[in-house]
Amino acid sequence: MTRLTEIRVAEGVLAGARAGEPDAQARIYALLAPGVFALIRRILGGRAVAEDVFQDTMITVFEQLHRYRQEAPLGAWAGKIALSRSLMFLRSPWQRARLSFGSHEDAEVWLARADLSLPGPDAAACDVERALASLAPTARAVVWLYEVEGWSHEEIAASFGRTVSFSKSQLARAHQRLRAWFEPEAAQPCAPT
Amino acid sequence: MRSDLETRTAISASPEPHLGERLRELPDVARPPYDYAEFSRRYSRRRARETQRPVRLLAAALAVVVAGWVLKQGLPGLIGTVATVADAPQRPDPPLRVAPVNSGAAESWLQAQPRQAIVRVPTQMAVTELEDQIATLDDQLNAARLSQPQARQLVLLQRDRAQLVESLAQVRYAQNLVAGLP
Repeated sequence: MTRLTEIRVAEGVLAGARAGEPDAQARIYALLAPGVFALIRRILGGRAVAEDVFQDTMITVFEQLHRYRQEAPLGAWAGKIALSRSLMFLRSPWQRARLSFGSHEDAEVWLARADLSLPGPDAAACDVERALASLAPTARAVVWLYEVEGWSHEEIAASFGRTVSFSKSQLARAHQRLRAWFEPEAAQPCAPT
Repeated sequence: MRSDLETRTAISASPEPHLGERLRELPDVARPPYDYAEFSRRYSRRRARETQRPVRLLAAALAVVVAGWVLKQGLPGLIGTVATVADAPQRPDPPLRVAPVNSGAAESWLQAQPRQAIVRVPTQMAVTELEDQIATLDDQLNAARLSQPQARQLVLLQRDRAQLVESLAQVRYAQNLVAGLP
């Protein structure tokens, strides 16, 4: 499967979707939806809220399609909208609270489904997923933006409407927590001698 | 976006240097919650809701106006007639024109209203504030009656109290409307 940032569509399909043709829009939806939903889900964590933001994102994609100037692949453009929508969600205090209400249930469901004894790369991916899921939504978003999307602290701070120190401290705390997750023995406090 | 140099520096300074790599290796697709047909249906429904929103707002505004009218018509005596109170003979002050002094009907209506178990905080704060002010005025009225009662001062206090009771009745009536009570 092509990565979201590499998804391109043919000129004809794009023109059709811009003209409101259902077939063309369905093709674009089928191409973008899996990557967009994965990205939103990874940042927000909870499935219910991710579904809301996903719907908003896809609506924006189709409504704003006439503004897409094809300077970057369509998937990258849609990914930016998904990120922007997710961050807008995280900036809302009420929505953050909503996210924390649902996080326990989601974590339980996730743990029930996950077979943590799986050997090989799946187990490793599971571990990273679990580590990410253990972070608070804002910290998870900061880690993702910094480590995967390559944003600077200044960009992260601006997107959250906070200071650079906020971004740095969120990242430092998240790293500390992830280190404790990956190397539990290293994170143990030293026993007195 | 960070430059390559900044990224390299960040990676070397990171306590988990391969974290970004591990995160990027995670599957970057997930099964979307619904297909295009369902998305399209939801989108149409949402647009229909958005189209109806101005109509709903207009209906809500109309409901508030009607509620206000019903409040004025349905609570007899809440808006009292304008009374002219002549000063006592020993008072040199000119006659005083005052707005309603009779809040008995509104008070009876208020007393008949049940206390709501679930309330909206901003509205309830307004109710509490009004009740506090009425209680303060009651104290002042009692004090005025016990000392040397002055008709002018009493009338002014009673007028203020009646206005507060009227406001309180309006807020409580609005609360009832919201709660769907009769």
